[in-house]
Amino acid sequence: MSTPKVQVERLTKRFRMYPRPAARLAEWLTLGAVTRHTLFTALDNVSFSMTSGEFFGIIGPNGSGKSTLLKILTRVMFPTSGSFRIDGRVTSLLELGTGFSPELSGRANIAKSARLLGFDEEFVRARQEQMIAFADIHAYIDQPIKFYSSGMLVRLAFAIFAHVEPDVFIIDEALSVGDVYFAQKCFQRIDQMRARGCTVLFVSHDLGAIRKYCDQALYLHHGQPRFLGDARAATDVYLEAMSPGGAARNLAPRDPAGSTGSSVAVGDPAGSADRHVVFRSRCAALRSELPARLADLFDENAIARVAAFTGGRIGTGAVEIVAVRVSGSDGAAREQFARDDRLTVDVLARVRDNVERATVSLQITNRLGVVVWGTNQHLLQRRTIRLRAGAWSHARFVVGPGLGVDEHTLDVGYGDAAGEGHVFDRLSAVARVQVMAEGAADFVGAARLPCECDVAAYEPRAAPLSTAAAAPNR
Amino acid sequence: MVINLWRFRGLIVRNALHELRTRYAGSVGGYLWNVLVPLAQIIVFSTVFSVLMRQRLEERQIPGLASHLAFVVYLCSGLLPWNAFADTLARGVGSLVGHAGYLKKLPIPEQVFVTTDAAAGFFSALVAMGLFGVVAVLLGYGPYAEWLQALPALALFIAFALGLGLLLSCVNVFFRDVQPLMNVVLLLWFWLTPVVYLESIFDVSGLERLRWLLTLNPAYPFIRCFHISIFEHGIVPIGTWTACLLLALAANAAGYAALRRLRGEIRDAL
Repeated sequence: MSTPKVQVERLTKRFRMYPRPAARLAEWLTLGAVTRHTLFTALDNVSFSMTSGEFFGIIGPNGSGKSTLLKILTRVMFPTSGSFRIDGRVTSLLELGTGFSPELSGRANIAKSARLLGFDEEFVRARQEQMIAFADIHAYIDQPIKFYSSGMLVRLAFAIFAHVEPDVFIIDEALSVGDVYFAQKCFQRIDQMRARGCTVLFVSHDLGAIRKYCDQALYLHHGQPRFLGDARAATDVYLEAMSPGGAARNLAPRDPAGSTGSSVAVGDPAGSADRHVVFRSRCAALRSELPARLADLFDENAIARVAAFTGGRIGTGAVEIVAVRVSGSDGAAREQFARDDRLTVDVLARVRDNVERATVSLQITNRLGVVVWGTNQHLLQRRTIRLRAGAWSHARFVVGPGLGVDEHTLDVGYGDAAGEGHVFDRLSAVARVQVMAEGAADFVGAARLPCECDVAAYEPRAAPLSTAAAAPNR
Repeated sequence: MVINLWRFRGLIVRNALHELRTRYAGSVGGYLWNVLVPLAQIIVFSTVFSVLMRQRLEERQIPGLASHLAFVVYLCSGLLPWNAFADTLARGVGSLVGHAGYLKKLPIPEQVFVTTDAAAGFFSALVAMGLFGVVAVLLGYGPYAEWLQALPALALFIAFALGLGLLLSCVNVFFRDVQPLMNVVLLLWFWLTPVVYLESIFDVSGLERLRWLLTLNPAYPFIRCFHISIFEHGIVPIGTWTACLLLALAANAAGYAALRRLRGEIRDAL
């Protein structure tokens, strides 16, 4: 491994909290002899390093100190103790559009942003055309940006930051604004930058993206580093720790001697890796209980997805969903789909109590929260199924093709088809399906509908010369 | 810290000019208002005060210039720099709080924002003073080479405002009381400084006991510079220059000391 490009050592940030402004005045007037503030620790002894070209992720719940860490690394805030070293220039998407003046044109705003970032005009002038081309707003570049759509603003801002050739590039949620195509374009650009040795620090709640792009990740909780290491392992540990009543407590027993409050792997990647191993082995254990056919289909990831699920979950528990697997027509588990690909959703449940008439349901919701489509066996007029306690139930939905280009989430559930309609177990947004603008599609919009279309042309006062019938849609 | 200012020089100058343009954004006049407002000020103040204060000026006549015009020259030579000073200081005090949006997101040094406000103040004062020079010449007064001394005097006066502004803007981040308090102080300070009245007012019996106010007034040496160079078109004594220079340096030293001390917490508190 080469010398680290970013080296963060024992970084700590404490904020002084005053009950009211007068309390601070009391401290000032007595030259600090009186103490009226309480300390809030936003970052506690955080250390990590990043090498050239690395894609490094930071995850953690809100208020875990992610933003504070980024602000320190971009030199917006000063650490209380600890140090960091960064080789070269840092640019952060935190600053996205901060310096934009609505009255100025896109071009003038490029120059202004560059000045705010401390670049001279020449540096930017040389790259201006590249930026405009990347943002794809040629027609509007000389218009005041108050006329821009929010998507255009994000594109312009990203274009500026991506072309000032930073050595370390910090990206936060800002990138999740804007459309999917542009996000892809951004990640392509980021790949180019990494190829040149740019290191990327990525902060996101989108664990899928963290898994997909990051090599390493740091999981912060209440300002403390809980896990540092492989990105996939970090997201697993995070999800698991977040799940209510999940394995977190069992896996992370407090030191019985009670030496310190947080005994869990603080600054100790080896310890947190152990937790990851334990979590994984739990999933493997469940898998070993499955009938061979099901064990082949539901791998540990499908089980871990439900085991670490933290979202909305309701139901009596008579039937408990234990694994969800989403795959393409080639049978491989995935989140990204081409428009013409078929979606296969496999749901595995363990039956706790005898159920006379069970039905299984699937619902697809797009990024705007609109239910695009949903069904269950009852609606499909399939027979409901009788389940015996101790058995396993496997349901398979094969859907589409027909979802529009968007990000979707899937809800799956088991319910009672008999009169009362009890829900046994229902998981909201348990899986993500991103439909990409790839592959052939014969429609636009949220979903494909069965359609037939005929078009004809008629000469005035004459019989039709030609009749073209479009191929029926289904 | 000064090196940081140099790195952001482009930003400071461009933003100062931009500030002057956007101060009247959305108006038809645009930049022109930067000229029209001080011009109107010059005209209003000179007519009002030349009528009210005519008698007092009999003793300080400028040869070849009607006495009320002499007072216009006196008034404007002090009032225009004072306005620039007060404006710069008032803006400077609120500068860090006003630019919180930038400070919370960009690693731009704090002093850049206060300096930008000072640069804007300096530019608009230059316009007003230049305009005043033209008006004076049209009225038959000058031009004199001694007027050029007003340029370094203005630079020093604004630098003094910058230093004080930096100091107070740092404190204002923690105690927002500073800004309204400063407006009151500036009002009081204005009337304690011989701008609309002559300093000979302290020769009048009964008021001579208050002359110490003048010697303690840090704005006095600066105003003196303007009165000497423009109104009296004489040479400003080296002692006055030294006083101005020391005041400007001291204010900036205090400003930077405060910034150095409070820096770690400023962006936390914003």
